[in-house]
Amino acid sequence: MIASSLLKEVEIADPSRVLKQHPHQLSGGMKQRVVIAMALACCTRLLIADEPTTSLDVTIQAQILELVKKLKTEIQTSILYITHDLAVAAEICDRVGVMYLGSICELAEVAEVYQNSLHPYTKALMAAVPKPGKELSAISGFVPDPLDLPSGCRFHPRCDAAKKICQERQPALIEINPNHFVACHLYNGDKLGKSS
Amino acid sequence: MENLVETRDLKTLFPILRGLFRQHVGDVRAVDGITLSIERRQWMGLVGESGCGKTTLGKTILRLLKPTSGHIYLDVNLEIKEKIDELEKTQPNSKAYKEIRSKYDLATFAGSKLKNLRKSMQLVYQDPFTSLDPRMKIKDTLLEPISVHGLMKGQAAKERVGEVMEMVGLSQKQLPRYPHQFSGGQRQRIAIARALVTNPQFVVFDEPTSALDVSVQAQILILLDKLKQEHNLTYLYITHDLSVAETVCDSIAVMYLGKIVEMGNPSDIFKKPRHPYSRALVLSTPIADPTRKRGRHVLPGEVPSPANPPPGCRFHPRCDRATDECKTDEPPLLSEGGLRSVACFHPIE
Repeated sequence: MIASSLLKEVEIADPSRVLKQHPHQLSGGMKQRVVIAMALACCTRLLIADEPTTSLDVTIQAQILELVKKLKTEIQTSILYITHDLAVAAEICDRVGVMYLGSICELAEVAEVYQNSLHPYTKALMAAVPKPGKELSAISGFVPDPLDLPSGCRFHPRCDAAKKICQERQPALIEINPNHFVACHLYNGDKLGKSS
Repeated sequence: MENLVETRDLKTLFPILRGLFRQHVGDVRAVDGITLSIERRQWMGLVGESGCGKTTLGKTILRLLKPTSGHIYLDVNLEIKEKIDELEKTQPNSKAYKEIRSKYDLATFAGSKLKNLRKSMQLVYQDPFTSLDPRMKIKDTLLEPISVHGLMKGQAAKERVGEVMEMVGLSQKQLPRYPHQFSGGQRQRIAIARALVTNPQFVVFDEPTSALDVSVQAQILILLDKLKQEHNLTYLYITHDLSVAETVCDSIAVMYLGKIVEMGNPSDIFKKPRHPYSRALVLSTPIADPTRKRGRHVLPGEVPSPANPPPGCRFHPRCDRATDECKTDEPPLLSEGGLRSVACFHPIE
């Protein structure tokens, strides 16, 4: 039976029993496994996972992340993994895109984003991640109302490095280093600086 | 340093009643014999998975729940605590024992005594979207604890409200607004202000940042640290986020199924966990650094039900170090000097 083989693929121990059960009879981790099995049922080529482990405990999250990694290589599906947890992204992703108010501000290989972040927003996010022995620093202010977006670069009201041009023009996402895209006036200053 | 808060062999069991005659068929052993002490001005982290009894322990210490047995002390001398222990052993039915307990042991408090206690111990809930009354202006939300406890009146009360508003980084101008006019982080600041308005000694935080974004979380953690320094507060910080606990707490207690399995200072617990469960928690926690991938150690299975905990060590069905001894005997929480204590027969060297 296809259904039970799918459940086996997502490492559910007793598929024939689980098939007869209702969702409320399953634990959070089990439910998430079933949902993953559903998503994979049609030979999926792109899997969009929207915060799949946010409501799970760390030990169960670790199980699900292992499963996602395993499936990615086994059935060769691409995954767009949406998360607000920078640690989870560091753990499982190959490339990371950082989004702020509706647009991508930085996009690069995972190691680049974490070690060589260029966009001021990415830098501030990294500094806000709790790490022992390191002073926590917060981004001042809060995310503006999406109905009343700031002009120019959407991050400029909270940015320490904001210049005049940042208020006027929205920066384009350009490739600064190979495979490392940033949307910030600090990095394409010359050309646009003259025109302003 | 002296202990501000102390619990001794604290148990909170929820009875399971079944059938027509509501027969008592068992208990959910949410908090099952916890001895914990929190030093004055300490920020203690309580970590564990959902359903392990963290919140029940926090609420029992605050006496929002009545414990089934055990003792809770807030700011009580060591001699008195020792005297109570001695009387409990020698003459548990004596009048003297009952009298001294009703004076100092929070577990026995009721009525006006309990109400009086509330102003020195406060709670900040997890979700700032549900913990504030949507029909009350912030001003009224903050004035309520003052009037319930009859602390101040009129102008003095208004001044106090303005003062706590500024303490948590908000402005007095925002007082006439309603909760929906604030963001999540601001609402959590209001919840903190409400907890601090009665000038408590001890605050329990129940996952205060789990509903917030990482940048807002950092703002709140920085604020909590500042408030703790400025107002000599003592915190019990309940969280399932180990990286937060490791960064901000002075000491950490790891809970599993109603029991504390390990205690110690954060660097000890995270760098050299002694209990296999603490190790599994530490290794399951993702780190925001792609170069530092931890040797994965996925813990098999799920947390058993606290209504029917496994015999012996409660962790043994999921533990790779378990022996026959673990299946029958329960390991006691033994001190290893300093803050460190571990409840395991085969701790990791």
